[in-house]
Amino acid sequence: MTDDDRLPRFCREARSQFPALTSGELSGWPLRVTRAHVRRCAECAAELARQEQLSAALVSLRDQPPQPPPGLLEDLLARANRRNVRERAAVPARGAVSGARPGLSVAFLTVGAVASTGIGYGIWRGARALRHR
Amino acid sequence: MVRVTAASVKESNLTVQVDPALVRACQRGEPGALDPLIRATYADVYALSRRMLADPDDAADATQEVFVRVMRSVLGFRGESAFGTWLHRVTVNVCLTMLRKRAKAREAGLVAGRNAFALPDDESMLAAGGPLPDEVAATADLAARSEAALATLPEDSRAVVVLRDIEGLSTKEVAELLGVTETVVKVRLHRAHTRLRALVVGDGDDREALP
Repeated sequence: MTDDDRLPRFCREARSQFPALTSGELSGWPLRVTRAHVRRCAECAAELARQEQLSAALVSLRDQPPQPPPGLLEDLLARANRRNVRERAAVPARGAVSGARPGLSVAFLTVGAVASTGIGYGIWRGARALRHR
Repeated sequence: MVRVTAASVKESNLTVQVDPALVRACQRGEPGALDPLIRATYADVYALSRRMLADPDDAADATQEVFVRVMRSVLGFRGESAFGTWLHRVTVNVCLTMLRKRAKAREAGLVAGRNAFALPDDESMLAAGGPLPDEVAATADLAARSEAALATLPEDSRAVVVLRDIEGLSTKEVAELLGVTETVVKVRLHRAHTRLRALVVGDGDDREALP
């Protein structure tokens, strides 16, 4: 059994709302009930004051990020510049058909499309001529 | 496993501004485009990883993994959100994957912490690698004490605190990220805050909140 379990039910339920209360997420009926309880209960009021201190401390951590270890940047840059990683990353951008440049891929695809359309048209015309004979 | 979708997370506190032209250059595979992108963002990626994983070596590994994923996936970035937001999601997903792997390894008894073969629910085991509560209480500075106290939390609770209280996501967003209900997030947050209040602010009776 935790200390929370030994608290009166109203105190327990009010305290479970403290994180939402201090972050401004609590609204409506739960907000009114929690505030009313804190006004009546000195222990919960003190606990809420501690919660507000904690919330402020946690928010302050946003401005104090852990610093990366020395050498991490160099490792990242070295890894990014490895040939195989760059190639894996860049393959689709280098052109799906040519393997070189997107512009060249577009040119290949256009020529292919025009050629296949022409061949198809020729076959259709030939078949039509045979049928008319 | 829940993956973070573009719609699930609002603009996060990973506020680093990245020039969209730089991102487009990376998408085109231009040589040299990745370097400034990495330089501009790696410290934020490391900081988030460090807090979520509470281990400097794991955080460095996670940062490496994040940028490998960025290099592989940057083509899929369509600019529907800011690049920083997208990077934040990638980082959180990498950290969650590492936490799950770590939990599995711990269940199998493969990870040696302060109590290498403790059960997964054993709280003292979950503090492995982090400072002991007494060490936290002895730290003078409030922010430093908060940082140290964070490392003593169970991993699931720590992820909730980092994402919600430090990164500033809402309860709903944290629930979506972690693949749990909002009620679970609230319960974890309540337990974590009760413990953190005792460690960081002090409550006079040195009680332990977590069962």
